[in-house]
Amino acid sequence: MFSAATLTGKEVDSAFWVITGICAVLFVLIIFFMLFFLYRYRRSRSPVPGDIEGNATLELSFLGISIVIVLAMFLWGWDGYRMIRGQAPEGSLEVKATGQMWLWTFEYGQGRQSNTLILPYGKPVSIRLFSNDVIHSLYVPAFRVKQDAVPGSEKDLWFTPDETGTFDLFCAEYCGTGHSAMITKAVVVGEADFNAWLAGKKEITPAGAAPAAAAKGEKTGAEKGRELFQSKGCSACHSTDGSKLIGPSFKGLFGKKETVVTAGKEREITVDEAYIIKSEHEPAADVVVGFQPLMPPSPMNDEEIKAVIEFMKTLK
Amino acid sequence: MSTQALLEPSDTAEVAAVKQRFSLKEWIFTTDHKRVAVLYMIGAFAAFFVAGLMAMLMRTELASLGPTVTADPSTYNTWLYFHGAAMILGYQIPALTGFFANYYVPLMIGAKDVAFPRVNALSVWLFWMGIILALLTFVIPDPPDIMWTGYPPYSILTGGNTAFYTFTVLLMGFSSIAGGVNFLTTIIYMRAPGVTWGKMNMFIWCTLAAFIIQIIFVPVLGSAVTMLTFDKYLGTSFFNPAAGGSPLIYENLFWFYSHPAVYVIFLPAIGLIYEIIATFARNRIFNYKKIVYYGVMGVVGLGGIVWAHHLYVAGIPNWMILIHVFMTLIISVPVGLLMIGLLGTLYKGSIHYATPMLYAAGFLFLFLIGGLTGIPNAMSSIYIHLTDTYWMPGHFHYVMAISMTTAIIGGTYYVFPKMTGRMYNETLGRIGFILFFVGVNITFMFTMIMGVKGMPRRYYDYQQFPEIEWMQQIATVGSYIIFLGALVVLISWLHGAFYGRKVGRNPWGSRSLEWTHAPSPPPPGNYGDGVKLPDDWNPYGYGK
Repeated sequence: MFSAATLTGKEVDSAFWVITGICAVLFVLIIFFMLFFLYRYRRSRSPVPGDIEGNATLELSFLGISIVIVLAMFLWGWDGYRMIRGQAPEGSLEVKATGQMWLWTFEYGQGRQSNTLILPYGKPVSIRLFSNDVIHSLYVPAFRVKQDAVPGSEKDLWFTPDETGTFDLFCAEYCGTGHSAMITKAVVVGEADFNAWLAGKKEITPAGAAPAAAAKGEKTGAEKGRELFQSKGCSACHSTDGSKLIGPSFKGLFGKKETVVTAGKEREITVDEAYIIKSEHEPAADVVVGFQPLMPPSPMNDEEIKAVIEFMKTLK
Repeated sequence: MSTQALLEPSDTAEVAAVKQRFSLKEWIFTTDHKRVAVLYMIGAFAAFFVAGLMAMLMRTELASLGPTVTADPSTYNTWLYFHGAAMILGYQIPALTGFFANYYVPLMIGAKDVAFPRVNALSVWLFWMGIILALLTFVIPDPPDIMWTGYPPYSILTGGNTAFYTFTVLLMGFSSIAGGVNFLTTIIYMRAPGVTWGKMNMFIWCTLAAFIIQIIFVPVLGSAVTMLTFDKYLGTSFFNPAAGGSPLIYENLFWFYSHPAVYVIFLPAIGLIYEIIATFARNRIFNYKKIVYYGVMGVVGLGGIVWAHHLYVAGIPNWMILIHVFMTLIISVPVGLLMIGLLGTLYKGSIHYATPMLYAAGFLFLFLIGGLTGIPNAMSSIYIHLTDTYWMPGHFHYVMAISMTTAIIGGTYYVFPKMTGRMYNETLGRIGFILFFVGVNITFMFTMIMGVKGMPRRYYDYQQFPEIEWMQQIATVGSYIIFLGALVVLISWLHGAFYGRKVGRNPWGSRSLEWTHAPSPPPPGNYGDGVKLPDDWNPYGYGK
């Protein structure tokens, strides 16, 4: 198993190896008897069967021993679980995470919001988990944590990041067509960097992501739009190369004439700014023929939508 | 072959007398348990074949990063939905509680037929309607894409046609309940004099246990999917949180049936393995009574209180998790006893390695891996990391998909001479087994390793894991080997059924009733004037 990046994750790993060890011993033991019996009692070597009724002592001692083994595993394993799933320590950083098809949004105090999970190193984090539509599941393999986000109720999890770096964050509960694209990053940074980010004084981009206009210069609308297109989950359903995914491709979309279904009737429209802004807010109002009304209302404001439109215009 | 001595030449004439011209109408309206069994067999293996093709498509899709077979993830999701639903509801449960229960139960207990032959016909019709409804997935415009679990609210919100799933479940469920009533009555009231509770075949005990579970738990799944249908099409809100419902209620109801369903598959499967091993090792069942009391009945008693181990991260209260971690670990004890009973039956046996016995040996190995990889899952702290990753499909394919399939294929080879009166080709049987066994281990060993690395399941693509592409490719190659093995198995059966060497009533030299007293194939009514058994008769009495 690759190394865990949380304190509890390291405990989980040692439990995993101990249990795997016990299972390996049992495996070798049973497989030895199995292969020995299968070989030793083949008909050419053992022509007459033993016709044994059984052995009560053996049976009952097996019963007893296995109960003792599983009870020991239970007591020990439950201890580990209580530590992971118990109350988060006082003074944990609180983050509100919301899943929706097919995007994660993380809200911090002070109105800071992000689509990547930015965390400070070494400080316990308590995540309150919500869903806007269907069941999702927040999963960071490196943290060894996973919790379903159930619409209509609040779930929670907590952990303490113990390594800085960028880690993959997945949706682990099947949530439809874009399930395998509901992916983002968890970024663990030093506490000073984190506080600067929280105050809005610094941007943090996941390692490996395109260095988005790192140079101090002003970003053009289209560059900003491209970033939003990636980070707000648009790319899960809309391609930029003309291929048909869940929604229409953005390539050549702006200014194109499309047939849409409005309240059950087909009509022809031109994809312009007004249409796009309306569709972002009310995705089911006018659905392009040949597509399902699956798009969730956009989490972006009009200014951000306009940036995405600028980006769309570049895709000829 | 040393068993030739047990052949009885008079059988050939007996069989010829009952041979009739093929009539489709007679097959459809049949009430003969052996013909009903054949109808179940054809339907179940058809579901196995189509669901297997879906698995091939998925494995091919995963063989390279990005789009491979289809660029549309929802197509992939439909394959995955069909694979899971059809394998469990259309293949495993009907193969074991339909095909084998129908073929073996009346024969093994010395009965003429089942207690209610017409209800039996109804069961198989409902099953076939379910199969047809499920296959319509491939022609309707918006096929279901809800996975076999069908969790709301996705199954309510999706554009896919959830009703094709829920009505398939309902048809299969009614079929199972009718079958349950029928077989419990048959086993309790129709045993021939001398087939006492203490001398019943292990397969009969296991089938009895499986049907007790079916009758208790199927109605729960039936009501869950009915409420789901109402939510989606009639606007109720049992599970729809938008109007105050709770998806967690569905998750609990679903697994309240679907976990015991694992035992509905497991018990008859291990029952078949007991029959095969007893026959080919010519040995008594080791600790027969304790295996039945503690093993089989232990699984029935505990099977209904472990369902929440599917829900450790779903957001259920900790006290509920506590109970279910405990019960899950405890239920490994009766399952372990059943496994040890198989080893004990091999001990001092006289093992002949025909194809069914190879499958039984394969079962021991695969089920052992499946069972032991279940222990980390039972530990809730480790489960948090492993669940919903590739580890889970790896684990449950070992523990129920492929080990139960070794029982089903091995069991079919075992019953083959009785059903057809002919022997399959042993070489083809062996080649099929080796391909199957090698293929499944390659595919699912790598599946588990990818899971430990954190690869989430039900993913159409894996852009974040370029480093596991080679493992995906090996797993895909493994799946092709399995497919090749399945083809060889099919060929060996078809070849054997038409061109196989004719055999008498007991080619395996078994002491069980269906082999010693009924001709191959048995005529309608099975035993003519009924069965008379000596006092010291025992289906496993090889010592005398």
